[in-house]
Amino acid sequence: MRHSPPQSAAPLIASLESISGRPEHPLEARPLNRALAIRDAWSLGAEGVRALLEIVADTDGVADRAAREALERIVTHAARPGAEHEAGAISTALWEIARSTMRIPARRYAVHLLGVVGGESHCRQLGALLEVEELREDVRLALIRMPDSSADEVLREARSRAEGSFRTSLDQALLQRSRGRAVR
Amino acid sequence: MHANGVQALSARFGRAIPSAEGSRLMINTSKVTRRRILGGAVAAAAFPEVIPSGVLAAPGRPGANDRVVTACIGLGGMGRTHIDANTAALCDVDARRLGEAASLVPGSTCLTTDFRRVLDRKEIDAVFIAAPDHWHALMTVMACEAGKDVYCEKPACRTVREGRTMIDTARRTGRVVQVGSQGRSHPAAEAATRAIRSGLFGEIRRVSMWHPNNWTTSDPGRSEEPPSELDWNMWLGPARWVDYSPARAHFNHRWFTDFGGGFIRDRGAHALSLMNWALENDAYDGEIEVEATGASQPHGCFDVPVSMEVRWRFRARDLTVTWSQPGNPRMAGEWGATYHGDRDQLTVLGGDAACSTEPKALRLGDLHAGSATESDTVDAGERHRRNFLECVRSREVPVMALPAAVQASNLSNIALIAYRLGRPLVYHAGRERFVGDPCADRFLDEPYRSPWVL
Repeated sequence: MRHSPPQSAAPLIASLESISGRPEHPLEARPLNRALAIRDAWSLGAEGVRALLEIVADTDGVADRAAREALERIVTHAARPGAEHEAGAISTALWEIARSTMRIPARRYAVHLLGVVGGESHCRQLGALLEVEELREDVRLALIRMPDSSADEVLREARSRAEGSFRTSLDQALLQRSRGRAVR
Repeated sequence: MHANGVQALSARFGRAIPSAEGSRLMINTSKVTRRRILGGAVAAAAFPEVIPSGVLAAPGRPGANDRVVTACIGLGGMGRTHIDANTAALCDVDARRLGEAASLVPGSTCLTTDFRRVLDRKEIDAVFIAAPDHWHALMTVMACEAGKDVYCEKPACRTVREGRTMIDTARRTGRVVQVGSQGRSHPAAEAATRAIRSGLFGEIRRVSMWHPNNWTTSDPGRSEEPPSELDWNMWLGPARWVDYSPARAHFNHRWFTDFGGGFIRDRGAHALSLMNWALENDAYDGEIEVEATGASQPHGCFDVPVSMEVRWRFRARDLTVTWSQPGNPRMAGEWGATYHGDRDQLTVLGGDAACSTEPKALRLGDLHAGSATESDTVDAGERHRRNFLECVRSREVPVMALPAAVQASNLSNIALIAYRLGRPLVYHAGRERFVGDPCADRFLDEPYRSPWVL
């Protein structure tokens, strides 16, 4: 018997149901099966990004973790060598969420993942989100991780406008990036 | 005052740890002296028998006969084992733990929930760091910068960059740093090391390690207000923010990638340290193929895999090492490693303060000649501590020197990256970066949450 999924999972469930040949996980509300279904949705790739981010910070902690795992798998798979086009599509999907009005936890996680897969153009896009107080620490962390030199430029530009403790945080980000490069 | 290391570890993991009693086939070489096991420069550097007369007291450098004034940062299971009459300060972000530990210290002592106040104190020569793993690198670096010698519990680091920064800082500041992989102070591990290095088992081209699965939980980790006695923001420190849940805090940090990394980074630091020691692999600087698979946690909030299969292949020396959870336990040992030589094989159980090996490893040593010295009768955890304190006085290199500890930790670190990325990787140990995988390189470092910076 199939139960109604929680509202926040509905888009993903719809996405899953739209794919033929995926009968292995009954889409019911039992947490274990639900988590398995969510985790398996990594194979949706860019198409699954929005639906999975809808589940991030779900009140069902198991679903939340499954969604984060699926998203990380999407991102790290797309970021494999030789898959630049795929990485670009994923990054675009993440950016659409990061700049959207979706719930803050989902946007924060999208920003974090952009730090893993995003390229030079995303550094500049993320720079705009340094103005959003609820996101700016996540953006700062993502920019520290991104290897492109444009991340330094974005951080320096933001520093010139910032005040107080966040200005100090941006100094620290630049310092951490310079020290990290010494290792790399 | 010192808790028995074996008992402490048993209590810590809530189960018996491997020991000679675990198998009639195994011998715990408690009568073997270190001098008889390891000869030459390595042993001389690790355990100087004569303290150089030129070692005089100076600020931040106790003289040969001086008392070493210490502080303990992090007062969970391992942290409390370092408390003794020379403890001048205690620190924990959990005031309840701080209060409990204070009762173990004779006389008055400084109590604080902020480790920076410990580092400010001029009278403290050395610190014992037993905070959760995500604090190890930063606290070690800050302590070195503050002129303190450091004993840091394993694992040394969570990332390659943390390890590099620790090594560079310790060198630049001239501090003594010992990492708590106590197996290197265990007579059984020494005996195994000597036997393997002697060629008794032929050339070792394969090492297979096994360990029980990581823990699981049904606790979904729902956000709660932290208890009033716990400074959760400080507990998280440089790690990404996550709301408090009792399922995440303290001992459970092991089961989260951001704080711990599962048993491969925990006891794996011991097993991999012994492997590097026995096979003289501490300074390996070539390419390493690494592949890791595992099973996700079925429920609950822990995010490390339940089981893991890892394979490292050291390309420059034709050596393959595997880590299996749960793997196939040998000789009734909960965890350990088997060294496969082309003539014979040897199993070593455990690898921390509890360790045992097979009688055939002892052929090269005369176990029963002479009388045991006082140091032979104390457990490996205590020997490891004493080695550190001796090195603080002598300025010699401790038995678990930081570069070797980082080398062992990095094997875990690159395995966890390969698991997260879901693909085999090639890591160049000398260059400290991956080969041909820019995404993997992004995990060589973890950004620190403000205001922390390494």
